[in-house]
Formats: sequence, structure tokens, C-alpha cells
Amino acid sequence: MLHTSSQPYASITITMDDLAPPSKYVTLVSGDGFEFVVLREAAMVSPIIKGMLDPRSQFVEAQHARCVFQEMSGTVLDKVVEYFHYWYRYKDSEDVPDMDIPVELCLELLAAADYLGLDQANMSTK
Amino acid sequence: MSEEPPSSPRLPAFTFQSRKRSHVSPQSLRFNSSDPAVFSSDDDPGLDNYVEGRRKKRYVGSWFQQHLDSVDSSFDNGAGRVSTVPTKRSLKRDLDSGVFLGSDTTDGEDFIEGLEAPALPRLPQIAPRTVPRLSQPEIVARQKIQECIDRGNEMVDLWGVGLEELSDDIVNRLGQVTSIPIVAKDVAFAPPPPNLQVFLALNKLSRLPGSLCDITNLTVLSLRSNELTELPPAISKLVNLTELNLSHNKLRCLPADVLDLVRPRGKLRDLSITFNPLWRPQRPELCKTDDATEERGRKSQNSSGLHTHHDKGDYMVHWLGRSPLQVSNSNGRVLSEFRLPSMEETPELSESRVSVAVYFDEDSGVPVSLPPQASPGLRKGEAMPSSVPSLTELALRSCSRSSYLRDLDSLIPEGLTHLQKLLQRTSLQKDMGGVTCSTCRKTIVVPLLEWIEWRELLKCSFTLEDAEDLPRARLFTDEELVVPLLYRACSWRCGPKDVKRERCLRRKDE
Repeated sequence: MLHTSSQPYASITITMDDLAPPSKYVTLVSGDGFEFVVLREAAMVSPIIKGMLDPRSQFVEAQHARCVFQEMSGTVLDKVVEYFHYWYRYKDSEDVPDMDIPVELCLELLAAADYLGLDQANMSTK
Repeated sequence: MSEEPPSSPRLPAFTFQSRKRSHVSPQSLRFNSSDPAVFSSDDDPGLDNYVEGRRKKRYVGSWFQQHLDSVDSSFDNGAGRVSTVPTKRSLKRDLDSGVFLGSDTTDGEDFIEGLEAPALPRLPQIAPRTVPRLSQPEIVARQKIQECIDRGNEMVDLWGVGLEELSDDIVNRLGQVTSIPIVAKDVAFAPPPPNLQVFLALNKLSRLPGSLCDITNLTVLSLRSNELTELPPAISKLVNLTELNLSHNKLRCLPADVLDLVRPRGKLRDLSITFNPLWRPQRPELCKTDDATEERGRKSQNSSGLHTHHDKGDYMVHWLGRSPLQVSNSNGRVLSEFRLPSMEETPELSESRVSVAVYFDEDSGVPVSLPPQASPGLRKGEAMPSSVPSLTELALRSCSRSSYLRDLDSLIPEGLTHLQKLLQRTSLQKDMGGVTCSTCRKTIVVPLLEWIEWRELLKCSFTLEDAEDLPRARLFTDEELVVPLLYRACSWRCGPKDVKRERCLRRKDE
């Protein structure tokens, strides 16, 4: 059992009881301190985040609905979050517009996508 | 000066001294502004003992090309002897003009000997780029293309030159070949119709660069007897192509985009792919030849409503069957049990068979799918159709737009080799002219689905109207091709229609 009260999270946007149903939103924090509040369902496209936030698990992230990504900068996480919503918006529609990714971010996003397990987005919709 | 034993003469030091100023030690230079001291106790109070007098000339030659003057016989023995024979002067021009422009004001110019040039340059130096050298066949090819450009000859004949690769240089030159338009009086000037014919037969090409597919005025392209294993999908950009000869290569299949070129959709009227180790369906009745052709041709004349009117030289395309789907994730890893045999493998002709999932039943005239055990589908973890590309795929597409694509894989940190491989694959595909989804025509990097469809291409030798008049005439020539076409799809929605239906049914059952 983790002692969550001793964790130094001062600026938790969403607090929740362990017993309450999981909140609708989760917070993703970049390495340089930017916080993004994302629809939980949209963020679930990433199997990694899904595992982190699984309410059955005892991870700190799951209890606070807050994931910190030390290795991602704010700009990269911004794009990642944009992708989450892009996926959420178009996952059931027939015709999907292209999401623009600036060339200067492509390598960092490639590494981030690899880290977040977003290579199978087409198939991980369950 | 009397009792000292005769000493051997000193070996001269090999420092070249300028004639301009005799070497003076710094010590003496400091004091020589005044007269030297003369002492009465000296044996020989001659001034010559104090001041270094004129020294005997020991070197001959100009100041920049001195060598020892060896009149002295004592130099004859000993290793210190340098070549003494003065070289004969010839009237050749020296690079060093020998003109020395010394200034009068600088006295200390002899003292800068201590300065040494730094061994390494301070500023970072640009490493000399290795310029790819032209091979002999390329030089020949360049000359031939240049001749064609000069003469306005649109038939570029590169038969048997021995080319192993089409460099960008050659392709650029091919694009410059145009005929010289005829300018006549009272005739409106019009650009000549595209009529470029390139014959690359009997070379050693193993792949085609995508830039070749940008030469859209190409009408005849012969690649007979090369070592091609794959045709770039970008070939569909060659819309003016009327003849394409691909026989005697190592092709396993053609990209599905080729169908766009074939008449009546395109202009291609001669497609030759004989003598290639093409993938064949496992069910042999799909690639039957001879007798049934006429019969089937008649039947399709009645049933197919797609192209009701066929002209002479048109191709009629029949759908024969389809292989199972190869499903891969964005990393290029194959997830399905079925996987296409690799392009590089060179098995025997008889072994290159691919299993069939759906085939065309001639009696009922509808596609029939085989039971699942014959066409293994996905493994566990069923996917749901979604058209949204993955973030990896999107990032890769963005990478392929970068102009530094070739160097990107070196920026990937250690341990992420699969990303490096992905970037290398992206770079390779960009060189090929890019890969597009066969259904929605979007540029993709890693296709989610790949499958083979076998089509039969029948060439009409008469128009159908003629055939009705001549009931006994053979409708079609015996030129018949069963072509495996490689389809790529970016998402499940772009996949084959019957699969979607199949999958939806299965989901309802669950």
C-alpha cells in the first residue's frame, strides 16, 4: 500500500477518493511543468496511460489521476494531447482529416509515440 | 696557435642561410653597434679575429635552392655528404619566382623562427565530401542521353549498357530529352505530344528510383531482362505510358496502381510480364490458361457491366481471387498469421504460391470465401475498424516530409533500433517515390493491411460489335495474363469490402 499523503504533489487539480468512481478527466504533466487536463476516455488510447491509470492498480497515478512525463517537453505533450482528442473525435467516423505534425517535432513525437505505445492505435480500440 | 693538433674540419650545419644577411648570433648582434674591443695582449691583434669576417662560401645555388659546395675534399668521406652534383639548369618555369621582397624596416625578421604553425587548425574543418564517382556504364549512358538531347531524338536506347542503378543524374537527363518542334509558316506552334521512349533492356537494375516516375511524357518503357524485384507504386504517375515491358525480371507481383495505367482507364496497351517468378495462387484453377479463356470471355461479356464497350487493344480485367490479409502494426511488425512471402526470397517458380482466402466462383458468379481454417485471420486481440492513423504513423509521415530524412536515423538514441529501422524504411520508400493507400490514395509509410489480388488481363483483339457479326471468331487473343497485384491499405476501412462484412458479422456474434 502506498502512502499517498506523503507524496509532494501540491498542485493536484483533481483529487479523488479511492472509493469514488474514476474521474472523467485526467491530468498529464510535462517535464517542464505544463499540465494538460484530458478526457480520460481519450487518453485511454495509449495502453501505457491506460495501465498507469487503471483504478484496480495501486499506482500513485491511478489514485490521483495524474501522470507526470519527465522526458516530454510541453510542446511535445501538447501534440500528444492533441492527437488523443483527434483520435477520440474521429475514431468512429468514415472520413478522417489529416492531423498536421510539424516536421521539427517529428522525431520527438516518434519517440513519444513509441513510448506511449501508440503504434497500434488502429487495433487497440476495444 | 702553434701546438694544437690539427682538427678535422667541422661539418657544416644544414641550415640554409640566406645570402642577404650572414648569420649573426644574437649575442654579437646586441653589441655590434660599436667597435669591437681590441686588446693589446692578444696574439694577433687583427680585427679579423674579433669580427666574424666574410665566411667562405660553402653553398651554391640561389637562396631558395641551395646545396653544398663540395670543393672541400674532406666532405668526400662520411655520410653527411649531400648530393653535390649541381643539377643542370633547364629552361623550365619554377613555381617559386624567386623574387624576394624584403622590407628594410623589419630588422627582427630573423627571430621569428620560434613560431610554429599549430598542428591542428583551430576552426572545425569541413570534411571533404566523397563525391560519388561515375561508373563506366553511367558514363556511356550519359553520353547516349546527351546525344539524344542534342539531336532531339526521343528514342533513348540504353540496351545492355550494364547499368546497375539509375542515378538521379541520369533520370534528370532523361527528363530533358524532347523532340525539336517543327516550326513552319502558317502553322500554329504547339508543344509536341509526349513521345519519350526509353529502352533499358538487358541491364542490371535491381530497383527503379521514384524520380523516374516523374517523367510523365514517357510513353514506352522497356525494362526487359533486369533484376527488378519490385515495381514502385509511383509508376501510376506515368499516365502516358502505352508500352511497359517487364519480362525477364525477378518480380513477385505488381503494385495495384498499375491497373490505373491499363486501357481503357489508362493508355497502356502492351503490358508484358512474362518470365517473372510471380506469386501464384494455391488453387491452381485460378490460373488456368488456354481453353476456358474463350468461354469465360463470352460469359463476362454478358455479365460484366463495368466496361460495356471495349475497343480493340483494350484490356478486360477479371477478378480471380484474393489472398488473406497481412496485418501489421505501425512498427511494421506483422500481427496476422498470414504473411506474404518476402520479396527477396527466390524460391523455385513452382514454390512461390500464396494461399487464397476468397476466389471467384465461375458457376455462381460471386466471390466465395473459404472457411476460416483455410484462411487464417487475425490472432487474438481482434481489431475494430477505425480510420484514424496511429501517432507513430503520423510522425513518420511528417518525417518523410523532412529534407533531412536520410540523416534522421542517426539522431535516434541507442536502444531504439526499431525506430531507426522504421526511419530507414521511410527513407527507402521515399526514394521509391512513396507508397500510397490503394483505396484512398493517401501517402502512407507502413500499410496496415497488405494483400494480393489475382486479376486476369485479357486483351481484346476485336471490338464487341465485330464479334457479334462473326460468331465463330475468337473473341480474344491468347494473350492472357494472370497478374498478382499487391494492395496496400492505410486502415481497415480501406481494406477489401468482403472482409469488412465478414468482420462485422463476427463482431455481432460476439
